[in-house]
Amino acid sequence: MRMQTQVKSHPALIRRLALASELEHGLCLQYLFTAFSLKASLDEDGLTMEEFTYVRKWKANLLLIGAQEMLHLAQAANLSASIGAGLNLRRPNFPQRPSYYPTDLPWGLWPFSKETIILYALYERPSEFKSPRPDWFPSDPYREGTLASLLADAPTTKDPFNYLPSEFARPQASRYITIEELYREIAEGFRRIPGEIIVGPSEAQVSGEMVDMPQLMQVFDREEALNAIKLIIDQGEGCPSDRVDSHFGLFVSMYAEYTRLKTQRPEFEPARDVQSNPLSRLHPDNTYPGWRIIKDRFTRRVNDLNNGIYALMLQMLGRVFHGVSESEESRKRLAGICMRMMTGLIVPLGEKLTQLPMGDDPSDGNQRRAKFAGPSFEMQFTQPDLPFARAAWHYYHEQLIRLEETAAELALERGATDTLAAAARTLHQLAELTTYNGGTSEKSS
Amino acid sequence: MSVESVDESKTFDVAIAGAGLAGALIAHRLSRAGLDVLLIDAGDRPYFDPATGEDLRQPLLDRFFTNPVKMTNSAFPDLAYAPSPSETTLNKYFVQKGSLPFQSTYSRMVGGTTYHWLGTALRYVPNTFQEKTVYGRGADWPLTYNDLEDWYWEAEKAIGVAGNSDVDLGAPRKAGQPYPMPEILPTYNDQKVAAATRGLTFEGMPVAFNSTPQARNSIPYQGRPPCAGSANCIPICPIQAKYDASVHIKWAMNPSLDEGATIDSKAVTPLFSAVLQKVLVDDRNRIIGLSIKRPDRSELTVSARLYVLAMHAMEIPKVLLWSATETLPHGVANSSGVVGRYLMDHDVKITYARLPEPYYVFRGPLSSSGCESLRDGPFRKDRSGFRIELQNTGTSWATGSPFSNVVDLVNRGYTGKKLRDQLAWDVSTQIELNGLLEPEPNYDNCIKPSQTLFDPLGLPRPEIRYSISDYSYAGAKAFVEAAKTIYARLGATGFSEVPGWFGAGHVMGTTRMGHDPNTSCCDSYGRTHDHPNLFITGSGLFPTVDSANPTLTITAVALRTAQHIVDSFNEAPEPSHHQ
Repeated sequence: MRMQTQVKSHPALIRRLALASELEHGLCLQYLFTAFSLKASLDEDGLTMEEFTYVRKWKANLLLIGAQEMLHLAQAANLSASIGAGLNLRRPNFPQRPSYYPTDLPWGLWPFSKETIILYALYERPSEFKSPRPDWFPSDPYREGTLASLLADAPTTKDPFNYLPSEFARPQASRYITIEELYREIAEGFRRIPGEIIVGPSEAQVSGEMVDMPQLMQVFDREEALNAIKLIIDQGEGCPSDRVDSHFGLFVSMYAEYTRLKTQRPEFEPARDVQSNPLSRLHPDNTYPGWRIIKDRFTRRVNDLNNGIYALMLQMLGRVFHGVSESEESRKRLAGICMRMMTGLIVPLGEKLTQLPMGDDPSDGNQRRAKFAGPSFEMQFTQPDLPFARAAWHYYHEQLIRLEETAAELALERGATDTLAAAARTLHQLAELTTYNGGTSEKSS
Repeated sequence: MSVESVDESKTFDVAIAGAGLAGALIAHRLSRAGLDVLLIDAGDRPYFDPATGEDLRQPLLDRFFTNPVKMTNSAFPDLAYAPSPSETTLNKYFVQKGSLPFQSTYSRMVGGTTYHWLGTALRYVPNTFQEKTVYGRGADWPLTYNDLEDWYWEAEKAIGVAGNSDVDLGAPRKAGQPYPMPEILPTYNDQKVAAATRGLTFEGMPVAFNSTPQARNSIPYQGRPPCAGSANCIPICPIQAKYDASVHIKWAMNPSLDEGATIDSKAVTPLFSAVLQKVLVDDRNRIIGLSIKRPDRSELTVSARLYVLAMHAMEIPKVLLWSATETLPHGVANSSGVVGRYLMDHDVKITYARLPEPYYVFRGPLSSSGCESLRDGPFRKDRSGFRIELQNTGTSWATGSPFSNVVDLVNRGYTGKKLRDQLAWDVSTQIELNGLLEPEPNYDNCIKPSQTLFDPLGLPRPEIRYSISDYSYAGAKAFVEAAKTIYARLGATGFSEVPGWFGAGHVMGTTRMGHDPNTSCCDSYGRTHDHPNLFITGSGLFPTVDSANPTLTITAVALRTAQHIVDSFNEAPEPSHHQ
């Protein structure tokens, strides 16, 4: 049984919001990866027209849920800003041990499968079931094999820390709480922490209009904070009941539809043969098994390109939320660039990566491994800090040009040429938009 | 679960004829109240599984994909025994006798025309309900905007409307009554037009393009997914992100699927493949039954304490007039003589032009923003108001784009990369603005049962007399001027106006409501003045309209009627008390 904690101080509330941001960020990427693994055309074998309609709907729902996690991340940013803190955009690389996060569930990048739907339903499960608990819903995902099924295509599942006695604490982001409790604690913090806590600069709050998120709320008092948290809870995490339109409800419907179609026609295969947890390379925080290194050189380079775009987008997103020295127009422009990077670069490259080969694998058990890769969303441990506007915009501009050159170079190689040529064009256009035109308080020299 | 027959000796609490929008909503509300309801429809089957609620629209999608003619009705069955007027079969069903052909279509199926509506869910502006008083034209409704305001909000929740509650579209919203979903994000096309027209005025009124409230999901709602931008709202949303009446029919047929079901909820009895031919009246002017014809030409009579006619606004007057007897020689509910009269549609003018830069159309729903700021004003004394619908599908309606662009370029010798590049440019730089014109109710515009031409079941075909008034012509002229002003602001060139008029599919006014039994056929709840146990619902009730699409008002009025019927049963459980 987990220990209940209380958020009694301003710093504790800041730390909880940082953890919430990290969870939303990671969940968003997991849903995106799963959506990208779904087939996108009848030209890909294994689908009838009716099945394809369902697959399209599942993809739209996964992307929607991913977008709502982004909204929650932005909302966590405004909540943090209201109490004077910034947005935490850091997170460990995939995969991580289930105990790393309070969810106590497998944490990684998984292609669409029955087990994946079960996992996501577990993530989004309500605290109370209004309608009967689905009979397929596991009470213990480990005992019932969900983790083992998810890791079936991994080259190794051996935990490198297994030899250590249990008193040696394993890597862990937080020790005591579940997601539901996390948000309830944050709400309690806003409700009960005495004294003045809404101390953040009001200009650090981002409006829904600035980032194209109509439901994003700005938070200027405790009541608004509680309303913002309620929205997050209602949409998914820690949902108090199993509404049909909650994330949990969507996964329940998805499971029912998937099993019906699979029973109807056992050959039905909605997803590509995509590897779980692909990586271009290992990172210091890859302390748990389940990953597999991409061997194909071209695929790895495309993945690196996507990782570079993702990392740069995070840098820019940080500036949207923290750049109080920027003009409103500059922050809006930057937000627009981030949005285009997500929809115009990360989505098509992510889709394409699930159609590019992992590469030769002569190791034992290779027949279990998947054929195609996927976007790994890798984060380099070393990240530049760019607090000053002029230098930051210059950095964005240069990085976009460098990424454009990489995309253009890759577009000349075999496969994926259209996607990469389009990415190069988009990167070029975005580079043109990143010419620095001055902030409000920082003088350019 | 399509019931083939019902016990003719049974008396239901309520019999509803027509399982489209209004019929479905009323059936659902009455079923929640525990009433014993029979729901009748000409359609042969529901496109969902009543046991599980699973949507089963694949046969409709297959029909659309394989149909060489991609038109409004191309996804839907045209039943041999109950024909639906479509673009290509219009005059096989309609008998056109007017100076202008009536061009709007509808579908006779379970769920009705909601399967292929656009999804626009606007409220009428307050002055529309008092047009005679305010502008000296048309007629006043027997209710005001204030009477309907809360019902509009109920309607928005019932069919799931996505919109921006902060934007003023001319119909006030009460504090604490937001749209149930945030707006669908504007397309690039929407954003460009809205930005370029900021500050523009026409005849002293602002030209403001805003996100259109639409019954299309921006987030999951009612177990339906958010819009995936299939750009196929008409003829059919492939994923049911857009509301259709099957939502409420399935909840009414199987309350276990309804999250809002009460302990009183009682499943309605469906009777499909059942065409209403006549309404039967006794010598006390009480309705005593509905005479139904089946596809095999057999007949049955169903009975209830109270009856609701919820078919299409073209079908209801046809049946009422065809039900004439020796004692009711002008038809049922027609002592006023207005049944079938005042037929209205939103006549549409289509314009298009060429933009100087790409706005990248063919993304998102068919239309997601429009100009609502020119719908109301003192000008309505002299000319009709209009709303401008900005199309996300370029000149698809006007010219058949993008297919026509390909044909045009190939005919002009374009091939290969040159063809692709030119096609991309031509399609991306299209813009189409359509004006929906407010019609003036005209007694001579009418529908009645043909005395000589019959459908395959031997029932009369609708005989229509239709014309467009000078009021609308003046409105159309103003719309074209407004469109030119907007195109000029956008730097668009090559202005074109498609000759003639198009139907919007908004059939209205044929069973108008009012306070006076001499000039209207029913009261504000749709209860007929002549027959206390007969209600009518749908857009036929509207004595006047503005230029906004009618569906949200149909919904609001139907929900108000449903509550009135429930209250009537609660207050007066015996049939005789209704008199």
